[in-house]
Amino acid sequence: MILSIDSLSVYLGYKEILKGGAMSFTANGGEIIGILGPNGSGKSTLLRAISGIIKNDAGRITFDGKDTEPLKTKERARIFAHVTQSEHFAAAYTVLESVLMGRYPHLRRFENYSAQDIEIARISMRRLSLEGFEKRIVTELSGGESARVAIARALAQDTPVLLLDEPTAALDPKYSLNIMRVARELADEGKIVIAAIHDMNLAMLATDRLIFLKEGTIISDRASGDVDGRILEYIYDIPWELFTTGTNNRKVAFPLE
Amino acid sequence: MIRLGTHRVRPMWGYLVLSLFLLISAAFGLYMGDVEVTLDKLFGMLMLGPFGKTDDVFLQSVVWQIRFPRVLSTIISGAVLAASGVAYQSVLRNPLAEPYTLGVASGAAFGAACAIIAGLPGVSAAAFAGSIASLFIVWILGERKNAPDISRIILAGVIVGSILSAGLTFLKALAGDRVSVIVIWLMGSFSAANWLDVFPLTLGLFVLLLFCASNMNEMDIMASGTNAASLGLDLSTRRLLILGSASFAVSFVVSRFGIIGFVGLVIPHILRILFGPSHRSLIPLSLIGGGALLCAADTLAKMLNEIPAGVLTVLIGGPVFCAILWNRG
Repeated sequence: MILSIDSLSVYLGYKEILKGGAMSFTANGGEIIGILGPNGSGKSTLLRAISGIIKNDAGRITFDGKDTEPLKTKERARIFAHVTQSEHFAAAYTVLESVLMGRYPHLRRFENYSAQDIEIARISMRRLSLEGFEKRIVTELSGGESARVAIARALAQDTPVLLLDEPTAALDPKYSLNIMRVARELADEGKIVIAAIHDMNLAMLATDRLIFLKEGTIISDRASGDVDGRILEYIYDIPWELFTTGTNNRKVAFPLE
Repeated sequence: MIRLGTHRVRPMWGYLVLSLFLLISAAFGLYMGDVEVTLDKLFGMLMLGPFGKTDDVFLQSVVWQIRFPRVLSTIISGAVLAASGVAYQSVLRNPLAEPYTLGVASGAAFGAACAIIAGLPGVSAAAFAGSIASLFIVWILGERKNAPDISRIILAGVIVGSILSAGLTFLKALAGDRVSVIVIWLMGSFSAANWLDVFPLTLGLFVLLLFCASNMNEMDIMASGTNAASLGLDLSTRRLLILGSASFAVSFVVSRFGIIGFVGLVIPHILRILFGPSHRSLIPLSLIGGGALLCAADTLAKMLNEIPAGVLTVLIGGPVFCAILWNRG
């Protein structure tokens, strides 16, 4: 399973948000890739261009050698599940109904969700510790709970590629780790997980590879273990200090004044 | 959408109660009227059919040529308005949306007023043309950027509606003594409904069922507030299909029977509060409920000296809505 991004360029008005000259990488099945970079560096735009929510102006996205550009929206949603940063629940659906919507790309015209779809939705909910939430109304959930429902819906989509835009922003440490553990399980099943993350330590802990963006350009693409103070300082314009923890040799990073 | 209590009523109860309400309303609609008729005579006429041989040809034509098409017209119109209202609110994701949001009503009113002033015969046809034309303009304006921003479409609808309302006022000022004809048209009435109205209405209903009501999963996704494209929904196509067909159906209603408010705005809200937002139950319930309410309102209107049915829908439904809103706060 190979997702290949080749010279991807996206304009917003006259501004090139993703600069095609340095916007290429390849993701393999089994990998968790973290996208890091300051606000406005193009992380969300990159994810949105990959899933096809926005159109790219130049460059190519191929999945297993097939160009994703000519695919229908529904076909694309069977390859990419995308949890955007702006997921919110506007209507009083139950949690089960909401997660079931993730099965929509697998439905044929006029077809209704089957017992199997419901089973898949339930499994996705279980993976995010949402047992017992089935009949809860989504508009009445806490921020963290709704974030998990949105991720469960993406899991129910059962796609080879999962795109997560700051999935842990609304979550406490326990559920952040829960999400990243689920991401690892998916990667172990051979899927590709690409996540924009702001939490540097979570990113170094839970991903295999980190892609650093700055001003729409890929500055660095390296193994998560290879992060050092120089790249972080260059990306975020502030000095960083890195430690190795005593307990399990984990690398941690702190921004300095 | 409105915040709701956690408890939903089972849709089964809705089907049961609303169907019963529909049957009773239809029965009253056939029974009530200027010509008095006993129940068994009415039943006999219904059994006999419109072409059966009888010595009471007058009563036969009252039942089959006047009351039956009128009852049918109100039921179909109510169903179309309520189901369109559901679609509008879900697709535009706005609790204030209703079938007239995209300028269908103001377009119809303007078209009708033009025809009345010019003294043309086809007032309904002009109203229909007006509503389709304004819908077209709103759509072109709203989708110009092909952006997924729904507020643009709503804004386009509001602005085109305002221009047409101003145009209507202008026409009224010019109309002289014909202004009363315009005002009466605007109030709307089913009193002149006949079989020739039922056919276009049925066509509208059919289009609505085929292209709008069949998109239940799609409307669920659009109403839910998630990014529909990432779930594989082709937004602009679906929007055009759902709102276009709903508006087309509503145009038939508005152009013939005037602007009937409330049914398309509040019936969807009431049903959503009671039965939850899932379109699998919401759409059929709104078809039955809207039909029943408008039929009941029109029957009452008939009994009250033919006051406009649109006034009664608000007078009956408004307080009911207030009560539900209060209880479910």
